[in-house]
Amino acid sequence: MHQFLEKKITKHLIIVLSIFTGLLTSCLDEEVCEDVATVPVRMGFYYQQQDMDEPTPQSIDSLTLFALGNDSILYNNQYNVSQVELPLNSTTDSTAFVIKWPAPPEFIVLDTLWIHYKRLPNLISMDCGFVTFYDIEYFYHTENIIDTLEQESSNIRNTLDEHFKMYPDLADDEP
Amino acid sequence: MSILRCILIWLMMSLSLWVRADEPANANNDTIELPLKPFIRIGFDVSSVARQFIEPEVRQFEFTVDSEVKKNWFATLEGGFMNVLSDKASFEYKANGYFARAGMDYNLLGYADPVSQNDLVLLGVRYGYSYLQQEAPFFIIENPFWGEHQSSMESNSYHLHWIELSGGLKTELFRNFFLGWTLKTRIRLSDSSNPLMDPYYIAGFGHGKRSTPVMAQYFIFYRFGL
Repeated sequence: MHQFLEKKITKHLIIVLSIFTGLLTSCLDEEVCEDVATVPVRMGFYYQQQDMDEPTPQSIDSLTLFALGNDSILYNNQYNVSQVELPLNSTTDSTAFVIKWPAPPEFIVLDTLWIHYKRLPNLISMDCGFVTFYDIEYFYHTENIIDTLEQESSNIRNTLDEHFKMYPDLADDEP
Repeated sequence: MSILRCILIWLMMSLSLWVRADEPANANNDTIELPLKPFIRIGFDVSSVARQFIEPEVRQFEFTVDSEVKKNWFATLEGGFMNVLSDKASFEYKANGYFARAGMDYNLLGYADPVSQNDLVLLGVRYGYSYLQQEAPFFIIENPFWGEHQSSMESNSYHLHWIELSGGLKTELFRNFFLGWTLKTRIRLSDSSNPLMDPYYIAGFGHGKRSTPVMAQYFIFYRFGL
């Protein structure tokens, strides 16, 4: 009788655990559409100190940034910018961004960055629908202020990864 | 995700040890080993039916066949098919596919008497293959900066090879009628190079965006003696 009861309890425990694990795993896919639908290129500004291995983040004041072919300005004379988000055009295979660097009023100092990529439509979820992911194929830029541009990742997905490290030659801003 | 995985593995292992500890003391060296009694056990994944209430767009049916080929070692074949259909205002997506898995399970309880193999705590390994065709007749991409645009994806195929590790239980509820559950984690080996789109759901594997998905499945089985 005792063994029979133990066996019954075991079977019930199996069923209860089954429901429990089912509920847990079914909750994994909950997501907010606004968060997962944003797929920009992230680019941080850095400078390299001589006695340090790792680059140091750099904040830039009076930064203006816009995309060629779009009248909207992404960053308009913005201060304390250490990272920018660059939205790629999902109807073309490349997007160009123009950076207007801080300079005295009588000067305009610009750099242009071209990013070429492969577009990958992706069904995020049945509720959120499709977004476009990108695989960067190649990029190039002018070198007025940009000293070095390092690519950290070529896969642009709905994550918070930083894809580029930019080293502008703004000697006065470095401490 | 990793915390959840640890909890599930811990629960599974704890239950396994608990079940083993409750076994009567006569399951020892005094038991006479009998020859294997051949059987085939056929199972159906009932969790796939329940899953349709959570995500009705994805329909997958899975069947399993297993048999004890050596004491406490069970050869397992699994297979099934999948259908995804979603027709929304902002997109339409269709996919059809099938999958197969083959592998072995080992019974941790280790009864000496094969006739008593009615309660099993199993650890297993599988090789899996999945193939699917997918298409999106239209979809709308919303981009706050560049505006929204409509596009489509032509029909294309995708295949995936993977290895999976599993652990679970099977217990006989009535004569020859079993109930069981399995937790599985999968490791991708290779897949289609440069697919037009990562599949939303991969037959027999799970959601495509998870690199090592953990999946819980619940089965009912019937054992046929040979």
